[in-house]
Amino acid sequence: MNCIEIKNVTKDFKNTRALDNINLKLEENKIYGLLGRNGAGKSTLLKIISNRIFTDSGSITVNGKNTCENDSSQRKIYLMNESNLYPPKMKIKKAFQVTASFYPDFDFEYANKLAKLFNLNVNKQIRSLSTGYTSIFKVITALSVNTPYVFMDEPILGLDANHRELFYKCLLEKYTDNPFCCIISTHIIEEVAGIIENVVIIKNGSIIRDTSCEELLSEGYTISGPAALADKLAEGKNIIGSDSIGGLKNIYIAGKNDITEIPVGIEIVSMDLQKLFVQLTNS
Amino acid sequence: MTTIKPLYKYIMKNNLKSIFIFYIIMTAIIHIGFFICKLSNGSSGGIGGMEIATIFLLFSLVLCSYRETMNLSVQCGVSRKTVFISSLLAFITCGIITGTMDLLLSLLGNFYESRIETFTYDSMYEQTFMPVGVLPKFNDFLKVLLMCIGVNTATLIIAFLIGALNYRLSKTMKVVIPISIFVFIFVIFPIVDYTIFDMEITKQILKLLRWTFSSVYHTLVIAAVTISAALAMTYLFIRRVKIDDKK
Repeated sequence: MNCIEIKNVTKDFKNTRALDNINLKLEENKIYGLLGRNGAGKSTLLKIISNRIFTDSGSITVNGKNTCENDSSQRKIYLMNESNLYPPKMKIKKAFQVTASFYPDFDFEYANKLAKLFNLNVNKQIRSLSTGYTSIFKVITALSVNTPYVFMDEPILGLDANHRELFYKCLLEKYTDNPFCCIISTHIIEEVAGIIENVVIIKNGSIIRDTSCEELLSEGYTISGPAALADKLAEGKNIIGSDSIGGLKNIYIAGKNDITEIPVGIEIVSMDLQKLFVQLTNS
Repeated sequence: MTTIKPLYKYIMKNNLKSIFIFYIIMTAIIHIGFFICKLSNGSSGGIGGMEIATIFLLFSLVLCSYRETMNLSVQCGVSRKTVFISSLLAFITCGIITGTMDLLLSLLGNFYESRIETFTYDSMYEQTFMPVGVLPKFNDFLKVLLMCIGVNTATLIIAFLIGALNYRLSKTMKVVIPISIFVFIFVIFPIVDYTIFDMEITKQILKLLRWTFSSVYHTLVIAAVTISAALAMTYLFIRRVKIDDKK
């Protein structure tokens, strides 16, 4: 099966262990959410896969071939991250041309269409773009390269709400028309929750969850209702957090929902991804 | 091979633009020099050693573009090994092109020199290897071509090495290394050579320099040795370099 396989990858930066024996399989034609707190190792992992830095041990293969210093494997991968590796003086249309010379499936028409949608002037130099428009330029390039694996590290950095909506819409349209493996690393979990199919959570350099979004969400639930009733119902359960508004209370429970009789006034709903993430990654 | 070609094209396109502008300026300088000498009755003037300007151009061209080329290549999924091969091929091509252009400048200069007595043009070859006042022959122009290609390619490769080294070094080391080299050459080496070796190392270096500039072929041998050594070191610096993606 076509996939990116990460085996026993470890990476240290001086005295800090950024990645600790990571094992992960990223399958084709799926949208992954790579989640983790600041400094968890998400960007390091993406940089290692895309050959920007090297592992201390372990291996990464794309469709069975090693990615380290391998041109044919690297051409199947495209990483957009917060840093800009294009020459700052380069014009956007030139950047599209240069990228197309390395990625033959680059779709110029689509890139120009997206540039128009996002109001991005392709005659501008990259250095003259604002933070938001730099992200837009990188997102457009990433969506237009047509490689089997696209990594997006903080793709919505600096984007306003309208542009973020547009980005999610374009990503889903692109994915529906021409499925590919997209790995989105972000802190705006609420927004990507509706897009991602699989979730990979990294904590302190180790993967603590690698599962489908649905399965992960079934790991917890919320009891909502009048405080006294909710507290009574939650007794003896694995409470991972709570919040109150007036006389109403939300109690977050870890584990499968085994409540058979729901009292009047109480509501039991699945926990949202962000709440679950916060509970799972709290130290 | 598939990634060597686009990267080679990218490097060549960037370099050729600057080289083209440079030679337009150089040609203009020769023309202006010639016409000034022609118009000012009796007073003589001359131009020489324009190949040195080419060396400066090539050196700065590679040093200024190294970081951008490396970063862009990795962004576009090119391995460091391919960056090395593509750059090497592009530099050899640039060396041949600039060598040929230097020869053409030399031919143009000598053509004008033969037209009026008050104008003189001396290429680096003429200044180094030929007696004063003797006009070069066809055979000499072939030697000019060989020498220019060799020297220009060696310049490009040395700049490539310095670019690769500079990319790898931390901010502190970027200051420490040039100072150390200066201190070694101008303080430590002379003291050690004088006190321990009775100036024998300096004598041998001068002997090598005299040998190098005694014939075009000797210069080419030294250029080839320099290119090989610089390439080997550059590959070591590039091979496992971590991409510097800080703004």
